[in-house]
Amino acid sequence: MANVKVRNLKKVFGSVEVIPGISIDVTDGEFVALVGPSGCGKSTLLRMIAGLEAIDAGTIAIGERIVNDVAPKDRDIAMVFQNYALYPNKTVAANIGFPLYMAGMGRAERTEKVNAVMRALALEPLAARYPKQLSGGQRQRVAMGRAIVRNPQVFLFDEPLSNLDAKLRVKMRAEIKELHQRLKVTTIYVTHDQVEAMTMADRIVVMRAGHMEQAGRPLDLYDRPANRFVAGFIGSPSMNFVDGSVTVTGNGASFVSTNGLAIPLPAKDAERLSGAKTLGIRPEHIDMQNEEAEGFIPMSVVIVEPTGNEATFIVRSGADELVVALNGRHDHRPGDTVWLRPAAGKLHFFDAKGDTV
Amino acid sequence: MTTDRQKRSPLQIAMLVATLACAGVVVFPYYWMFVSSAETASMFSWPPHLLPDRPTLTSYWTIFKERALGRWFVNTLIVAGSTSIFSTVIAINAAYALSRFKTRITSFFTLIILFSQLLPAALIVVPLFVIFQQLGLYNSLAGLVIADTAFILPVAIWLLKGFFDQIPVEIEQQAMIDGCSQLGAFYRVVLPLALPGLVVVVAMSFISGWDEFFLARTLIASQDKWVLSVGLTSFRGEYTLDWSQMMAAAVVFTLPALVFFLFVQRYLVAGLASGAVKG
Repeated sequence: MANVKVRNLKKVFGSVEVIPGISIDVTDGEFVALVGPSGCGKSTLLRMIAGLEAIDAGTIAIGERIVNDVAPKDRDIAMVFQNYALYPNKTVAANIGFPLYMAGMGRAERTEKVNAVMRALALEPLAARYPKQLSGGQRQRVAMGRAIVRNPQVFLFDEPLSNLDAKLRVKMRAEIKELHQRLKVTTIYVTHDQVEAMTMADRIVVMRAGHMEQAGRPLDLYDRPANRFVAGFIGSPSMNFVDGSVTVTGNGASFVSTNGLAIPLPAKDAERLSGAKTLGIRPEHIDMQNEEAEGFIPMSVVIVEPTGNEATFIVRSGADELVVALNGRHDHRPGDTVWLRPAAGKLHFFDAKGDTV
Repeated sequence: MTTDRQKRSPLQIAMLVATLACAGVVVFPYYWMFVSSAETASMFSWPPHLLPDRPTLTSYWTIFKERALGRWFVNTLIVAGSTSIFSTVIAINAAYALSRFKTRITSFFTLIILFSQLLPAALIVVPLFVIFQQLGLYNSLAGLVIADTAFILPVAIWLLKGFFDQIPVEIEQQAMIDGCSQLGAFYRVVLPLALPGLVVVVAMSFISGWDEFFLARTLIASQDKWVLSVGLTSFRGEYTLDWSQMMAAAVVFTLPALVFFLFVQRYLVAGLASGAVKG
């Protein structure tokens, strides 16, 4: 096991700077998720760490060793690709054993290790099958088996769950997490799915256009996003954003949207938030009720999306629209007037540049 | 079987008959070739001898004894075999490079290769003749191999490139992470996956070298260096034509290609049907 140090890494494709210069530290045994919209450079970064993509500037170190000029096979890493990249002409056992075979391990020892991995991943009954005879989840497990069998310093995952259906994805998510907890191998995991990142990672690195927007523990990113992009990316359903500005009135302050919706604020915050141009409020941080009350704003229900244990509502007032997520069951119907209030202390404010105020 | 037969509808039976009829049309010339080679009587006798009248292999004996058929056979084997080996080896490397290293130059090159295929052999053969003469390649089997290889290469490269394109690059990268060099990943992982394509290219280039006539007629002068396709035409004298001997030579000419085809047929069908690698 080892830490991974990325320093001022740069990647240029033609005239496009995919990664203008990024530095990331992954400590020994940590599970780090690289997350961001497609095209943000997260996969390119991972492939550079794997040695599959040339480095234009900067350094990558695995353990104490700078690996810029080290071939992928000599970096002591294992990678799981989105399409699993199983060898179609090899059986499950041969697929898993291939890295050991290439390392020159004797047949007896190899068989023993392969069997141990297959046992751990419940692949033993499938040992003699070929990849095309396996289901998506089974292929995924074979790819993981091939990665863990060689006991590498670092695991690299490139969107490994994207090709699975939703149910299986949740199951495999737990399996990968359990695997990490058991083996404690340094893991870098690329995904565009923030739920995957939130549920699995010790630390999340949010990327956009080759830059690191913010890095931190999942709940820190959720509670204290550095800017509007991270705030919108982390959390599901996404945070509501209302553009406007803080207005001080006689007996208090409020954030008044450009469309005229006024959200009351504590008077003491008015000065601190004077530069705020956008208010952010997570759907789950809004109280909603049928009766009028002090400090509540009236809005009308447009769409109701029940899922059983919670429900999502889209509510509207003039041109302002908010998404509200409530636990449990509710009898609000489209057309109803409801009364809303943001949960105290859960508001986020961003300045004109999008940075958190 | 019996239950299968009972289930056959009239349409299926009609299709079966039609298929057999088509097969008959294709197979009959070969049968007739063989029958004519095995008897000395004229093949134009009426009623036609569907079975040899007095079966004899005299013609075969004659063509090997009195003509240099053995020599020509060996020459053809050398030319076809070498063409097959060279064009396959070159095509493997070229196709892989064109499939994996996509730049403007390689795309341009890929197109150029296709365009070179548009030029008819008849257009090129005269300049080729002059060049080969100056290079000292005229009237040599090596020269013929070079020419044949050059003619089949574009097709071979395009065909193999299609196969390599279908193999996900991740499989190769996975192999590189699992302990192979880039070249090692290619030979250990990619090439075995492209096996059906390789067999197609080997077979195609062998056959094209085997039955190529135009270049062989032009670039080879002396009789001892003829290949079978050229030798075959020598049976047509100015006034006479020994059909029996010519058909015997034709059998000798066809048989190896036929055997070769039967041998690789399994791969050939799999290769042409493609879809070699999925998931």
